[in-house]
Amino acid sequence: MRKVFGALTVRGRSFVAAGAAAALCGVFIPEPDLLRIGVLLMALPLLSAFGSSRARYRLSCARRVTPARLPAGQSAELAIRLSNVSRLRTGLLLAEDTVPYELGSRPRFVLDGIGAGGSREFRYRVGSGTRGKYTIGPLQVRVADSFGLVSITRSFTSVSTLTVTPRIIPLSRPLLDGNWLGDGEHGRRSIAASGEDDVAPRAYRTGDGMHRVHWRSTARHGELMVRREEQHWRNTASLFLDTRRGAYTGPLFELAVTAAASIGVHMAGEGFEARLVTDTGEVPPQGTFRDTLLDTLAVIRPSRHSGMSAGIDALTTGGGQIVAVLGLLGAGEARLLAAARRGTAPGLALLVVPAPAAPADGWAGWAGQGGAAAEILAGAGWRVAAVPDAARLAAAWQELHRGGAAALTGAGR
Amino acid sequence: MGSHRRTLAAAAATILASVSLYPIFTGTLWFWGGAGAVCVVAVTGTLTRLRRLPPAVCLAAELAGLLLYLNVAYSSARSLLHVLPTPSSLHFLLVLAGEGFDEAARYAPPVPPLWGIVVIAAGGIGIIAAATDLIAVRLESAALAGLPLLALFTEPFTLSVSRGPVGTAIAFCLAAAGYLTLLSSEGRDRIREWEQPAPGPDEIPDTRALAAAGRRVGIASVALALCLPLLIPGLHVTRLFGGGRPGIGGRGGSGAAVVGFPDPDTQLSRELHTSQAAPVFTYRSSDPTPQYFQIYALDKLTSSGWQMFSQPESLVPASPRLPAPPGATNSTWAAKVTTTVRIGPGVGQDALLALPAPYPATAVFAPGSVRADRASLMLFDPGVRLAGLSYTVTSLDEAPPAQALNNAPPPPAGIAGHYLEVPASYDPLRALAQSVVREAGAKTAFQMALALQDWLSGGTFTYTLNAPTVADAAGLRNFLTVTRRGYCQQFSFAMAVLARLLGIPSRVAYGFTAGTASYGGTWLVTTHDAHAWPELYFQGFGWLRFEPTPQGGAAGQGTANAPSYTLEPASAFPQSPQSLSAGLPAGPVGSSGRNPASLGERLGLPLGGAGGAAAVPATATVNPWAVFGLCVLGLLVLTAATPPCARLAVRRRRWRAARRRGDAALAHAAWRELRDDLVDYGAGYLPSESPRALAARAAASLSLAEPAVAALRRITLAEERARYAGRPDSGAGLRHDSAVVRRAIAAAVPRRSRWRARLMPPSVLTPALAGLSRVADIFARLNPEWSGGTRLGWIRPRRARRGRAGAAAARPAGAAGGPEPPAMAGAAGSPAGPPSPSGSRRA
Repeated sequence: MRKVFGALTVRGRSFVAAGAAAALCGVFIPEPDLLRIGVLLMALPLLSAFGSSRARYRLSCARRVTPARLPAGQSAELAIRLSNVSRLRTGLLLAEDTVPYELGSRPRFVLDGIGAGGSREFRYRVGSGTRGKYTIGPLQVRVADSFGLVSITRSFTSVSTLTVTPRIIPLSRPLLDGNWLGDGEHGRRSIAASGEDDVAPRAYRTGDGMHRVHWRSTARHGELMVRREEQHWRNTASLFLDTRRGAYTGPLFELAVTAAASIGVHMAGEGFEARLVTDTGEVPPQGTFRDTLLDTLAVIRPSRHSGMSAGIDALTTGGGQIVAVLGLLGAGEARLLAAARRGTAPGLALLVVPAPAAPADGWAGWAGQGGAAAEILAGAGWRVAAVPDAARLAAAWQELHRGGAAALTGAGR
Repeated sequence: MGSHRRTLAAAAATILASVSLYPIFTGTLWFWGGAGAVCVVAVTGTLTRLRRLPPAVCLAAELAGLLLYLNVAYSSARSLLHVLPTPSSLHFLLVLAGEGFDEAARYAPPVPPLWGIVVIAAGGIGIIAAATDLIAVRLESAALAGLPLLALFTEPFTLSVSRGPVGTAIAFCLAAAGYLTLLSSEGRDRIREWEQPAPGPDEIPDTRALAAAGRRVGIASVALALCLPLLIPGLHVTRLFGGGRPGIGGRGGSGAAVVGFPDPDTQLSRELHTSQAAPVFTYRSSDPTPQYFQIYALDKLTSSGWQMFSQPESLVPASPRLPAPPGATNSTWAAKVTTTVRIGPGVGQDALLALPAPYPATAVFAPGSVRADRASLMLFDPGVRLAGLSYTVTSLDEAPPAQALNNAPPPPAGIAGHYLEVPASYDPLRALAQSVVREAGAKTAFQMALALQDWLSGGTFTYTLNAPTVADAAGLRNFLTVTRRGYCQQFSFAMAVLARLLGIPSRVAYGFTAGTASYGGTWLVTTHDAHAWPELYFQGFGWLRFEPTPQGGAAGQGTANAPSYTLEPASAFPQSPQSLSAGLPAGPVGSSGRNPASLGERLGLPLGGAGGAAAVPATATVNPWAVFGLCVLGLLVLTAATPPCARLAVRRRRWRAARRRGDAALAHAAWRELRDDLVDYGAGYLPSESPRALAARAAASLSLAEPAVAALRRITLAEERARYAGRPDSGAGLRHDSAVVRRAIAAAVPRRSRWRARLMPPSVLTPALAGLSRVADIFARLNPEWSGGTRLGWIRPRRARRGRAGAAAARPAGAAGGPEPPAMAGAAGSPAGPPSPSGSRRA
């Protein structure tokens, strides 16, 4: 009985109450017409609820979101498949998916009758302009009656996760120069210089050319060994993102995140083996660099740190090229950071600051904020560019490579 | 789109609800007027919804449309171009409406189809339609739209007009159907609008199945609402708004409901004393010598006179049949008389509280809700206006011979207890009464009554209107012994009291005499025909009228006459009852066997017999509710016994048929019997299971013991050989094996399953229910998934699943394994099936 009552909507309960009152009056006045009306009003919701709650069927719900990770501003498709695993045909079901409000309104579907063993799939698109990690679901299914007196809601448990990454701005591949690819320890140049070869022969596999057989090792091992000709070499780099709250004003933090994401994706595409370092230290890798980068940047928030020594320490211990996305820096921090660069590869520093046009002749006379830090970095052999908004990111990136003329000249001074 | 549908539904609901007004009006003019108004309002409403106007504007537009419609329909001659309202046409409409209100006040329902009334009706229905439309469509709250419809439906109720049971049922069905359609239409619209990315016009969800389900619920609810009030005993209509007149009984049931009744005595004297006889009613009767018209019967003798002792519970609706007249079991000498009464136009609403009708009336056909007092057959029609009222009464004209009356047995205790009560103050008159009877030599009750009547009307007493009203014992003694002058009030009072003192149940009736014959076979009854007379009770004949008042001309009541049975020549005083019955061997009493006693014997009912010592209570008739209850009980028992009997019959037929056809048939019979038993006991079977697999599963899941397993194996083997081998095994022991297996299964399952298998074997019930639901589907073009599917599924999957999962127990809920593609991420869809969280099923 409680189940029946629980299934009633407010209207259904009002009907029962009004009907009970009318029926009581009808009995005590006594007036059969009134009693009839009362009985009708009471019977309607109760019978509806009884009928609805008696139809028992079981559904299973499978859901899929493609792609599970997408940049802000694009939309993903969500497919939900409801399978009827009972032997009854379902009645009319009203399905509603739980979607966070950032992703738009909740999609609703009407499923009119899934046959026994059948399934129904419906799709809808979600997308968000703001990065983040969103949980979509669970799906709710309602059984309603045609009078609006009954509403039985059941909820599935499965949910999908949608990661909305920062916007990725495509960056063009810079003109290669010797300084860019590789570093002193593991780069191509070292390979080219030493001509190192055949460090470890491996066992012969069907399909290897006979000319690659390494006879000496074959003699030693007693089986056919071949030279290993494919080279295992890596370009390592560290992407540094300054997330300190104080370093950014207004929406520039988002710009910094976008810039970091764009650069990181670009580097991953270029084959770098990179790591992500923020002012609080290195972000532990989860899967590939690209995954780590995007998952981290999707949910990253400004930190409350004032200094970034932890991050700089992490930069120092690792090797390879450093690409730094920076906000406003103090002179001391700039010096620390400048000192973190190792090897021959130049550090690249992208200043996310409100800035006028890039300086033509060194950072000292630059009107933008953070000129002093830029000066210090440039003096330490870094290439520095400033980006004030997302539209200029690609240009700034080109500028960093195209010569970083200003930077180099600054370095030379 | 949805709003159009709902507009239509609202209009239909209003029209259907307006049907319930039919008892107020005569003719159908009002209905068409109202339907037209509803249509106009609906069209206007649709037009207003083309733009999103505020509700008040919508209402105003609808009312304006209604006014235009009324103007065109009823005042077009004065309108510009017969369409546009002009001041004169509107004035005419106003006058018409004013007339309508006057006419409504003047006429009792049903009112004639006068223009004014039709205008009011159409306008009223139109206003209701506008309210309904506004609430249901513009404000999108169909549930609340029931309120204006309710006002329409209960209008006859507030006007105290009754529809009668059939009319009420039809009106209720129509009104409910309209309202439910409106509700359903709104609910379906809501579902159509549910989809969030709004679907294309060709993808609108199909809600027909839902509507069919709604129809089914609606029909069930309406049926329940119609039937339930019938099952509540003692629920009778009383009028809430009884036009200022007190309803009898009902309210509170405060015992002696003399309150609120004008004392009939004073009323009578006032009527008789008017110098001018005013016509009260005219009537036509099939009887050339019509009977008196009783209005009320005063049955309680108090020390301050006769009063009406009304029992509220004794008021029953007379529609049109009345309860049987009390005590009148012998209808040998009763002739059926039909009287059509037309009450004069000048009769005020308060002059008569009840309908005058000859006693005992058996049926009355009158507008409104006539109710009758069970004991006195007084007719009350509180719902109608009396002026101009016309009704027909069927009554009995009793003229039993004196011999039969002399033979009447003593009254039963129920009558005697109530109608023989005499306050002590009247006791001194007992000697007078006995002396009168003794002088006349009366022996039987009837003879005593005749003696009293003759004594009072015989000339000793003088008829005069100038006599004090008798109201107590002292006044009565004064009238009987001193003044000996009076009119009907005194005479009837006296005879009724004296009869009670002599042991004859009596009461005083008030009403009219038969009046005077008028032109063309009608009779005219005037105020001067108002009369009072005693009625005495004789078992077998009920209440019989006597006439103690002197009759005729100036010396008596003008139109009074003594009943025929008191006028028999030689009233047979000297004869004793014994000699009478002995002397009438071939008479109607003996030969026809219609005396109460033998009738009672034949019917098996305890009646007070002629020689019976113990008086039997009058209430010793069979209680209809008991009969009803017994019938229901019998039906229930029959219904409950059907499935097990059917199962037994199936089993016996199966074996008998198999025995005739040989070994293979026996094996098949054993196999089918096994399958049915498994179904009955909840183990189930799958059509795909081979005999061996089924046997193995049954043995394992039910953990059968050895002899049963052996029997099971034998049945299985026999079935296999019957199916596949060239020569089947001998089927000799199979029936025994089958019984062994059945017993083993019964022992293995829980008690609940065992009893269900015995009382409601699913192997019989499932096909029956499937057939039923199929019939239901055809009948109401129902959708299979709600009735057929559900009902079938209610039993079948359970069986099957039990069978399979008997040992398998609960699989993990998530593994319910719908066809889920492996590519789906997060495929662990928890099957929280909407109405049933799956666990409950498995447990």
